Amino acid sequence: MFRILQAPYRPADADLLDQMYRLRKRVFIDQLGWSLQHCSAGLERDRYDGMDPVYIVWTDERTGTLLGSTRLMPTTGPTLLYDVFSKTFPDAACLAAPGIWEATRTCVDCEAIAALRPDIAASDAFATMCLAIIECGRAHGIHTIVSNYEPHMKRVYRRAGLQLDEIGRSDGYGRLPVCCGIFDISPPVEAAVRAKLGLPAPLFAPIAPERVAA
Amino acid sequence: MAGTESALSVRTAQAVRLAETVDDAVHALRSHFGFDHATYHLGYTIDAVIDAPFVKSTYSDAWMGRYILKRYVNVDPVVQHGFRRQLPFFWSELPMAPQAMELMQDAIAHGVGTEGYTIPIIDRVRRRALLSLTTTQLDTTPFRQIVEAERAALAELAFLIHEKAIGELHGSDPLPALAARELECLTWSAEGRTYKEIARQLDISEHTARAYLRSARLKLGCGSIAEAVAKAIRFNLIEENNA
Repeated sequence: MFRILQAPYRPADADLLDQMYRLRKRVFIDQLGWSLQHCSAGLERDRYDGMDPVYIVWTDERTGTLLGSTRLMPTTGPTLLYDVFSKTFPDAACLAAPGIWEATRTCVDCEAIAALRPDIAASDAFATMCLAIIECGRAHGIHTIVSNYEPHMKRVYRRAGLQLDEIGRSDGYGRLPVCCGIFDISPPVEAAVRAKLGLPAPLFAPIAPERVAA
Repeated sequence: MAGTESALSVRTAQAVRLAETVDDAVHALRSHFGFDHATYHLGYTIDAVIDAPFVKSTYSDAWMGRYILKRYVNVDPVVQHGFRRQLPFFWSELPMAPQAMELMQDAIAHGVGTEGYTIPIIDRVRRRALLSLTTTQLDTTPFRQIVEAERAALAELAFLIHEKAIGELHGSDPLPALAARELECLTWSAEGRTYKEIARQLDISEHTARAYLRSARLKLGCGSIAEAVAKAIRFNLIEENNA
């Protein structure tokens, strides 16, 4: 199940946010070896997490376990990619418009997916997160996503059906350089990613009013 | 997508840009789209606290006065959520606390609207603002349809009005610095090249070329690429090519 978490985050979302910071620690610090600051007690949480970003979280419906997550921020405001790339790659950092958003810390928990969702091939898990970003974007007037990733991930994006364009590269935080790329969010792109995954139905349920009873 | 903006949104952007004040701009936005109301609300900022919030709206003076008198801002879910959220939202999606019920009924009685759509705005220095649009129709379907068809355009219009408000409050910003790629794309565009040709020339994809041009156009505060090219030439950001 896919959900969008937005500030003011609900107390009920605290556990999910905690799971997300832990997953990010395992993926970006333990596995990719990124030297990220502000990491403590098994959590990877940076200053942009304090700026009310939007998170897309993918959870296993039965157990509530987090399967994947990403963080979205509008490029008209302060962004991680602007701060990381503005000195070395001004072109990559320059993009700022209401319909252009950055997606950072996109990751999936391969072990949890293998254990809880054996129906999803490991190679499809990341593409499924991408589809969630596309759906969320299209529902909110976002036409372009800027993202950072390690060089080999370009193949993963392409396999998912996304035409990712590298616009900058930086010796960032880990063993490998970090690339900055952009992709288009449009009906044909959504159709292509959906077709590759064989997922005709939307990942997100229609937004239901969450009225609190009087 | 760039190049496929509707005639309506292009006309509206033009009117908003030409408006002398933010007040004129919200009125222009309302009348072009046929919304019942449009409101721009600049909130608290991180660096400076504005004594009175900067609000420009087409709501009646009676409602604006009542809103202040009743201190509705403290319970208004649109304000409470809008200044923390980043994604635009329909008012019907918001959780409704019991203490907001009086406000909602009062708002409907004062012709504020039966449904609204709010676009949160944030800029580089983390100033936050809201642009809210409403309908007073009982059947909110036509309102939702026009918003859904024009989401991207409305987000740009919201930012345009925000820049106008910042200009009104602090004087207009100096001309923005454009990145090399943005200038290159503008230069090729000035020569009449299509997105496809620019992309080939710069060895980037077509949508990346479009993104650079969109970004450049927005920084120059222009409604079309042609306008952005003209402005860039006027300010000597790019050279006019006589070829």
